[in-house]
Amino acid sequence: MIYELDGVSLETAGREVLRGVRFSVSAGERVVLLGVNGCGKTTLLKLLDGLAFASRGTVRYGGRLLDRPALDEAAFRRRFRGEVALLFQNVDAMLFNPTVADEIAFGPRQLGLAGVDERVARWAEVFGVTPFLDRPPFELSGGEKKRVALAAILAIDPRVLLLDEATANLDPASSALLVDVLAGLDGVTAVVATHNVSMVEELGSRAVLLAPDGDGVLFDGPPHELLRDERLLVASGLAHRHAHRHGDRAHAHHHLHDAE
Amino acid sequence: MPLPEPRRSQALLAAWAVLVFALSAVTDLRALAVAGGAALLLFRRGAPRALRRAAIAVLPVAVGLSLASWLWLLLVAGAPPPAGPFLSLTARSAVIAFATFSVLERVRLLRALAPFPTLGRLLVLTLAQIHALRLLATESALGLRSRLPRKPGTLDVVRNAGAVTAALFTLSARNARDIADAMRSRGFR
Repeated sequence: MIYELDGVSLETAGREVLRGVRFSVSAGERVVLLGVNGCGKTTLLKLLDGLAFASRGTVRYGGRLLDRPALDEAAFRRRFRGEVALLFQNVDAMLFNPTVADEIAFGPRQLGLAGVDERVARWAEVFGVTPFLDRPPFELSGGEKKRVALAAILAIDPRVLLLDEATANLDPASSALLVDVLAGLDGVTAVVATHNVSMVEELGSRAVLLAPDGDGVLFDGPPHELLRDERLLVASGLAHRHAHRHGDRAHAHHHLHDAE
Repeated sequence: MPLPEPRRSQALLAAWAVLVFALSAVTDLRALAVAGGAALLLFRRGAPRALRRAAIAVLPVAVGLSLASWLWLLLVAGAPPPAGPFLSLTARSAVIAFATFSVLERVRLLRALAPFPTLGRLLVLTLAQIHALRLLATESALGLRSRLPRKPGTLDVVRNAGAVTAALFTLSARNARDIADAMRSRGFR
């Protein structure tokens, strides 16, 4: 088992963002984390990346408790940071190096990995950012920044990928590329947070739906089962009833909604 | 033979640091005038742009502070203080600002700092923050323009400035937190 979350609650600034979240992730699994804005998806990914810690309950990584003392231990921290990579929702936060090449090389250099130049060349090629290698990342467009950030986290060859709104800001071709890249990463575990419901089945084989107020998990199972459960989709805020037209016929029914 | 990059940029930055240090000790108006003339001659390419930037960024503050100090001394002493020190302070600021903007136009800062990764990263963070904040300020101005039935006047801009400033600070603080998290997440300690 890669992750085991047991009754995880997290309080920040006097507000409980997550309550009693319980699920586990096996090695090689592709899990899509769903929920409306503010349900705690980003917070949950930060918990899985050891950037935030549960107020109650436990998070285990590879059987080991993922808490502050564990990450203060140099050997574990090095192993964990070398195995787990997080794509931030705000990719601007991830881009702090003078050039795109340095950005992609940052992780491998920090971890002392071999073949840094080859890693940069390979992942820049995969995400089509080779022409920008000498440019400062902050000058790029939103979609280009996202592709650079993806190349940067994949350059360490992580065992676990945590992707926060991975397809946001990407055009359809780049989203399809990301799906292809994920499909080609054999044995890599991925937890992908999104509210892009139309891509759930492409991004993972299992869906975990968080309650709108972060109050636990509403659904945990195959994406097609979730997409068939209209009552649950409406209750979780992922589907709405609204009026629209089919030709000259106006009527109202439930619709799935993507954020983009 | 011209120096190759990043040596050329590094040499120019080192010369600039020496120049600024030396100028900061000059109080004689004639010496400052000579220094200003020499700087104009040396950096004549792009001089109007650098002069304009210096006039906008430095002169209002330097002139304002000098004037306020002069008036304060006039009130306290009851007699007009000599204008020389204030004139030389303003002239010195103007010459340093002109030289700085001229040098910045000529160096490739990121390349020059390449051998110093931490400094380079610090510069990138600063530039990225400036970039993000300028974007927000521009978008806010456009937002204001699109939501007003008339051309925004000074009063509209001043009224809106408070909210924009608060947003700028909030954005900066959030960015700083996110960047720290991202650096930790990617193995930086």
